[in-house]
Amino acid sequence: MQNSAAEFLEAYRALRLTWLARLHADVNMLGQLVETLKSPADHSTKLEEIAHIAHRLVGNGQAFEAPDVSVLAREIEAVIRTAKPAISKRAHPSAAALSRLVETMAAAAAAAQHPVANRAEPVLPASASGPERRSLFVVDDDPVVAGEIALQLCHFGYRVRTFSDRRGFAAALALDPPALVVMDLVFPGTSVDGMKNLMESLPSGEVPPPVLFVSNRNDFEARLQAVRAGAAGYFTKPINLSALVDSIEALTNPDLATPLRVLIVDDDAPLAEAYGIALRAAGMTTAVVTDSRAVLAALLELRPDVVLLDLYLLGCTGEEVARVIRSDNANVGIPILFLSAEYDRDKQIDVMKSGADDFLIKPIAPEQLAREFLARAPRIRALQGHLSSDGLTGLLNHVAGRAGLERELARARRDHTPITVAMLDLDGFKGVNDRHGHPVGDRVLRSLAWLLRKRLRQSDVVGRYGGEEFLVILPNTPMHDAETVVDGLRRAFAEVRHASPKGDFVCTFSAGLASFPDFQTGGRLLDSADRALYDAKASGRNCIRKAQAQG
Amino acid sequence: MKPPLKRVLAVDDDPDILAVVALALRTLGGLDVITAASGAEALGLLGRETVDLVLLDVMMPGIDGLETLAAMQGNPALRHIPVVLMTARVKLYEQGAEQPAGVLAIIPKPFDPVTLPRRLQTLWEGHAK
Repeated sequence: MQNSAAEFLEAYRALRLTWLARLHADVNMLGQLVETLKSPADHSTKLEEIAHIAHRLVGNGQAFEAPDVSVLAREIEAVIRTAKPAISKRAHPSAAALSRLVETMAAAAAAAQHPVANRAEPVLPASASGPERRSLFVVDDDPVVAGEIALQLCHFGYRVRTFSDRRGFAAALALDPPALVVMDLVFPGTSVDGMKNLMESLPSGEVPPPVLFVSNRNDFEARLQAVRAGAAGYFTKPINLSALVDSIEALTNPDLATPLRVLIVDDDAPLAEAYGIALRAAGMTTAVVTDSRAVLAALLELRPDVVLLDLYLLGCTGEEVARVIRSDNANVGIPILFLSAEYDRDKQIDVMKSGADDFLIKPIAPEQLAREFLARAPRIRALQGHLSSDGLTGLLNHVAGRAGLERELARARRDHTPITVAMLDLDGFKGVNDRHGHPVGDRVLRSLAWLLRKRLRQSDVVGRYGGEEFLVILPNTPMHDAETVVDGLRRAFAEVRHASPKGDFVCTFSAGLASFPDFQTGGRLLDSADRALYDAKASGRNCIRKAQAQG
Repeated sequence: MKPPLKRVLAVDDDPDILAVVALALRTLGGLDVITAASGAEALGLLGRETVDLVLLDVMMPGIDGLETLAAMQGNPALRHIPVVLMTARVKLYEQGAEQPAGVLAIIPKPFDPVTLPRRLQTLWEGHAK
């Protein structure tokens, strides 16, 4: 299967050509059918025929890389679905609308003759059904600690069982192995090696579940011990739960984790496309740029986790492109991998100075390239996480949150969609810290972070803006809807009981909201949301206020 | 551990989709693929061929996907074969609604054929557990 991407591409091209010819005929047929709607007649069969062709084009427009055709076909379907009953003595009321759509589709079909090099695939969930509750084992000789970890993991929809002795754990492991084990490194009754043997003695050669170790120790010896026992991760106590959950998610459900986004820059279009197919087949999201001048736009659009750059490009060198990419501060953290036939180590070192992170030697089969990326993916992800996330909550940090806002604003301006920004601030948080201590306060911050991540959409941007202040960006959401969402969050959070040795308590937050296009720049949005937040605080807290557009 | 996914029956009345799906599953997924252009043809094939999984379009003229599924469920020899539905009407099954019996997943149309082999493999592995 070494050249499966190339093989796919060749046959796919031929299929696409045949399809394009048929598309041409389909669009002509649609034109003729719509034309008949303009004169009085019984239109019902014609409408059915139009709907039938449109339905077919929805699916294969996407499959054959003509997404515009697919979108227009969907619109035609929608027009017909909502069309008023026809009166056969007149022209059909939807004839004009359909006629315009078919005209636009004819243009889209013509444009599809030239395949677009630069595109990002929409990522669909692996299944329309929700993620099933996954089972975890938490093993700690202290049942209280085990219970505490388990309780918090339950909030994330895991099914958790706890064990404090070896025998019960061993029995359950053999009977109903979990998706993952969280285990204290020092476990009575057995050594780490013993645990390793236990895991490997599973019946019928089943693959043992990954083990994440937790420990009080942070020394080299302890970590080495864990590594030798086959640890998939190592966490020191007190555990940073959001980091633990990230690891669990990544290990138990690699497919639901966000796919690695790769921007491919190569002026050899067929090769670049074959690379793209191999990477996508391996589960990554890709965009291909064959003209280096389009790199900046593609960076903004795809927000790649990594850039693959050919060293020799038309018009400029890969080094120069790398420098251009790095000249924007927002891109300093994106790893750049060079593709080059260059074996000369001195030359490679020169190129490294332009900000390259690694070299891959050409020629390389697309499948091999995909493996190279998969091997680097965890590291790329981890680095990126550290660069952009807040250590306590795992949310985006201040800088990354601001960058996220600018990105979403650029998109909203282009697509003419609204954005609403919410600033959240915990009420009386200083009092919580004073009364219950900072560890409890930190837990409150984390619980709000979890709630935000859990309840908001994947596309929403959630960051910790400062001490007890959080930034939430809701793309494509007008003020009215945002108000409902944030108020739902507010009510849900007010229900959460926080445990403390000094007695359980509840904590609330206040929020200020501001929307684009009422406020045009990132700075204005944040200022206005902040002022609205101040209003909310002044109005007695545990409430939300909206910023009104001036004039 | 269950053996990896090997043989798939793909069913779609649209010959273009069927061709590109079969191509992707064969070349990128390394799978053995048989195809049917209708529910009736699929049921006929299933009577004499063995497959690990059926990839089934919902909207088809004649016996549609759901009827094909029901016929498979009613046949003890076919009931165990997991089915992945493809449909543009995902809304029908979103949020709360029960997935029909025997259905492993519903893949919303349109989809990227390149990513399909991996998705099926992942679903198959999840199903094996």
